[in-house]
Amino acid sequence: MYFLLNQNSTPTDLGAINPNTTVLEWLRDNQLVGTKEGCASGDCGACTAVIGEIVTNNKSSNIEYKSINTCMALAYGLVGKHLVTVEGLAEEGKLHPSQKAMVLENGSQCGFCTPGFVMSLFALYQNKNSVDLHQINEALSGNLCRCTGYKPIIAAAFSMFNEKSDEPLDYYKKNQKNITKILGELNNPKHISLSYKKSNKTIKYDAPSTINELSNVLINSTSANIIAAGTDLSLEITQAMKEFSHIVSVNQVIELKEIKDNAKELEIGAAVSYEDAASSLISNWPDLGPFLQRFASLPIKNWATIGGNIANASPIGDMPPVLIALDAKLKLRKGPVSRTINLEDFFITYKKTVIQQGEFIESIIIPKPNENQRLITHKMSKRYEDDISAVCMAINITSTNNKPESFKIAFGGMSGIPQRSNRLENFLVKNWQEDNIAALSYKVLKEEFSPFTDVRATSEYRLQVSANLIKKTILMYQDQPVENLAEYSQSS
Amino acid sequence: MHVQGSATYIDDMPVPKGTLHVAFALSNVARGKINKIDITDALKADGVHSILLAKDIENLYIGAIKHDEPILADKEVLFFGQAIAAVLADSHENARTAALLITSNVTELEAVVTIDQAMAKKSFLDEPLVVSIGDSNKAIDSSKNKLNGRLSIGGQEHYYLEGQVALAIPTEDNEMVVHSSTQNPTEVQHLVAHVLDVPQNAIEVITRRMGGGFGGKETDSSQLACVCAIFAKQIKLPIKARLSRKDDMLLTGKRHDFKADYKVGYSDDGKILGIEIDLAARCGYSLDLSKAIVSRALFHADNTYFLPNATFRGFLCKTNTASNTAFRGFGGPQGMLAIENIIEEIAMNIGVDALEIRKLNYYQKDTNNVTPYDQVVEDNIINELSSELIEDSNYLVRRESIEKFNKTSKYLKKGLAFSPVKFGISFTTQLLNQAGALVNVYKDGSIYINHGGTEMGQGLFIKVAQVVANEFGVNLERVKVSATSTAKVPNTSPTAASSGSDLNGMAAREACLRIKRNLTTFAKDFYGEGNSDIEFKDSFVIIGKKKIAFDEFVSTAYLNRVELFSNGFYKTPKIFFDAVKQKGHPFYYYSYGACVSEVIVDCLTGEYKLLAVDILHDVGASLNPAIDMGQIVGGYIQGMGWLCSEELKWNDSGALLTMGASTYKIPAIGDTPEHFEVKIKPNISNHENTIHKSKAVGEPPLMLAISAWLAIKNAIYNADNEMQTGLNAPATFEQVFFNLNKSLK
Repeated sequence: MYFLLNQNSTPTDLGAINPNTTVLEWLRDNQLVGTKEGCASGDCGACTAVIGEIVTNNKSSNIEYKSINTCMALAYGLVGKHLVTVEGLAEEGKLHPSQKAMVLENGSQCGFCTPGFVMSLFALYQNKNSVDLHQINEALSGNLCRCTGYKPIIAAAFSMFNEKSDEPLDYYKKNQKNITKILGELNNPKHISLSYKKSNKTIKYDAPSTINELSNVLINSTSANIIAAGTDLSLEITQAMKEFSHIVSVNQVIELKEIKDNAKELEIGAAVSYEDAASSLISNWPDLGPFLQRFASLPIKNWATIGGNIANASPIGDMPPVLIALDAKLKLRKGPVSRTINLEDFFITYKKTVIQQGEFIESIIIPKPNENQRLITHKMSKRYEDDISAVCMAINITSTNNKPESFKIAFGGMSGIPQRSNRLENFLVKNWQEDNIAALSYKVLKEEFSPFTDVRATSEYRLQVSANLIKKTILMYQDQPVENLAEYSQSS
Repeated sequence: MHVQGSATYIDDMPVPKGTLHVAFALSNVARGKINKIDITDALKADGVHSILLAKDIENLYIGAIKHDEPILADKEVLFFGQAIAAVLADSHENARTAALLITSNVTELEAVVTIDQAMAKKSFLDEPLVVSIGDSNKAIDSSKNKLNGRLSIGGQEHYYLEGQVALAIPTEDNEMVVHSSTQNPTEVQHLVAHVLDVPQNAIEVITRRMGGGFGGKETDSSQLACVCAIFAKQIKLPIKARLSRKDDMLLTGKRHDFKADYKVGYSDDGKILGIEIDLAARCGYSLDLSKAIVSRALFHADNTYFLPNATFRGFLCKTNTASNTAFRGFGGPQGMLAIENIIEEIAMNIGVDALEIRKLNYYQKDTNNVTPYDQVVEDNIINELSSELIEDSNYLVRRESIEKFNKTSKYLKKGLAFSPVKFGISFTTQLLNQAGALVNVYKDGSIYINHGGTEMGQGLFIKVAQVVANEFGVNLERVKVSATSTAKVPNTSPTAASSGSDLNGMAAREACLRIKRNLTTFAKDFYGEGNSDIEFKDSFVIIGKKKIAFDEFVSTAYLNRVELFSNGFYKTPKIFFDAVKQKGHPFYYYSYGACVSEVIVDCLTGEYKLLAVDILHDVGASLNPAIDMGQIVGGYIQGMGWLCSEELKWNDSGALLTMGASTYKIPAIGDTPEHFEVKIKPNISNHENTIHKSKAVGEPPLMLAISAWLAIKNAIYNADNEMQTGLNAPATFEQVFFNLNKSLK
């Protein structure tokens, strides 16, 4: 099982490893200890590394470099890809511009988060020629620093682009052709199936390359755990110390990676990452731009999939409420048989769905908006960057003659599942113009939901802020001056 | 090194062959009697070597001041997350997996979780502390205007990026080398020696660097090191332990949360005539450093204000929670927040800008300069520093434009606040104000330093190296600072109380001066320049008319049998303190600073954003402006996290709910204010004789962030003038929401 590591000219063998091994564990076990473990849950970014993959657009092939949390990615997911770690940036002792900038701006104090920041900066450097503050914040949204207060790191993100030269200053830009060639030879899309013997156990790993292979594997296994990015599932490994006996990765399945965009609907393969889906989503529903910004950190969005966010059935996943409000459907597949259901019917109770043994999500189908529709979304959390919702709300408003005719509203964080609120929808049709809309909505919400009090918010806050968000939504619909502070800038 | 990932932390060190790994099994109740701990399944798990219980440990109890902390829970459990067993296995993962298989039968007892519960039950770790001056009771009684209230001040998880970690390597004859990520190698050494029952000279503790400490590794590193050492002694193999983030958050102490109950009497224009503040701190199950922390809270409840009649009482609440510990500011921030909140409340009641109330109550230079603990403030610069910042930050103009903005904006409201800082520098425990250093000059002119301070990112090693390079007139490149080792400099104090460079810089300088004396004596004789001066400059030594390269000079000195190494010692002068009366001169000097913060609040959601921050901070004559700037900026953001988004939550039965990065939110990059102007006060030097007239910088800037919290309070007030906001800390979005939306139902 081979991948390309840093500036090596030949691929590296992962060796015979337990399929439950994360990239971070593999690196540290192999003396690449620059990449750190800070939280082992994708929250701090000390483990950030960069993955390069060949992407073919309009017949030309490029390598796309993306930051990821190595603490959550499984090592076998590296196969056929290029992994760049902090050890691989300097070239013949010469620091990479991202490293040099961090030194010059005093971007490092205790140094423990520094490799992660450097890698996020490196990814930014690969993808841009210059940046604004907004892009910097997004690129570094998954990295926590407890020492510097970020100011010098932001300065470094700006200044790393200052040094100009005719020839690329970076090994990876300079050697792009060669790397593409090596990766092209490595990238051999076929079904990977292997098993690992551990004392008296056998742990199986499958990475099918087609949807038929995937459905065959799943129909024949009773112990399979489907893993896409694993941004939730890998916590079972790293936090609960669980060991999965059969891991089935859907990341190589070609059909699940496709986005089909036609006049009537947008169909997104279940294993498409958020970052890859973002442009199609935002072009159809502009309000999702800021929403996706707040949705999660960039390394998570680079890796996590929409299918995973749904299959996981968390009551605090942010995409299901949005998709429910948009009338999305799910295409499910079991063996040779497909079925299509409404997303809102997918969730039964807390973490329980209608999915059957051996069945999997193939794609998400979203009807295209017409010009009378407007989607407004809100996310409430303790922090703007990389936080889980206390409340997530999506409202899809259909208008006639510039007046709302119908509402479709779905919530996350308000019950055990992502849930639609019929009562509120009906209520708003009649009452949306009322002055005390927040207080009235509160009553309706209280009848429909009894949200939990937990570490993220009290029940009462969830109810009351939702009521106020209804008011805010109406104000936004009326183009009143209400802004989301997450994007607020004094200077603009 | 940092940017290339080649700086080595303990978890990155190649471990010796045969190293085994430790993980703890943690209690899942806050208080109870242990009936049985079942380790049967765990012993059978993959890779498990053995399991340690309290009964297996002879010298079970450790602790910083008092040995009241069992390394593993003994007979009773005293907090949720307390270690009840330690598993030894062939890998970190196997140790953790097995630890989860340990079950315990515990008869649960009623836990004291909150400050209110502890106060009601008089559950204290020690007698209350009282700092008092004048007659506060009478002064408040006779005041025309009075206020009273309660402020709840949250705690704070350190969230050092590198968790607690230790590696113990047995050598020979019961000796051991322990690598520990600690701010306090000496204490780790002494406690390891204690639990192993060996003399202190058998243990060497080494700390190269920490991935952040912030006080969280001042005492909390010992437990892990001791467990490793116990196993290492038993089985004569190297033992390593590192805590997962969750275990670290459960097991180790945090910043103390406080309740401040206050009464204040003031004149019509806002002059404080009498004040009483009761500061009750949640200390957790053991004493740790709580007494000194509460004491420092009392010493900072005056902040920059002259309070002729004041009574500050401190209560050390004993609770069934992890033992709270040092955290940057060490109680000072909590005391300071209490008084700053009172000032703001007075201003709101009178209806003036709080800045006026602040200026009116400031300490002055020659009068009104005695603190409630009797120390005279001799170095006061807060008046001029404030004026400078108010001008630089355009405060008055911005106040007006904010008023204008708020008049036209219905749902978004802005708030602005100015807050000053006066922070006392020195350990309040007098004996800790000492330091040692060892300086070696080698034949080739390279220099090696070891001192008692530890490096956790604050730049201490560079500062001390600068001091040494400066003494010898050589480039910094010539100087190396070694890992801190208890074998090189003994009986050191923790790197804490912002004192690192003050103490170790002076000790290192003293060592340099001793070597220079040897060299001077030698040179005068050898080069025959009589009584002419000797100068060490630009990598040369200048003796009268002779100019010799430093390395050549040193090499010649060696050939002539001159001693080229020396220790140095320093103790802070002038300080004394009577702990019974709580009076004296606990601080060598004060550091000052001030800050203006501006926020915008969304009244519909309670969300807010920090828009602009202007800081002017006093570091005396800076040893290294870049490092000091880093401390100021980083301190502000860390303080802002404490007061804004970082919320620790326990359930009613005492289980910590915020035990991971997904639920405990430290500031992220987008929380950095877009306008962030930080200035070190220029052309100023410490009036005391500190190292190159510099001042300490580690802790004081954290408290600049009080202005962020005050600005939120101001925005809420601006949204509704009628309202007494009752804002607590941290000002989470939810809390701000409920301050703004009391009448929604």
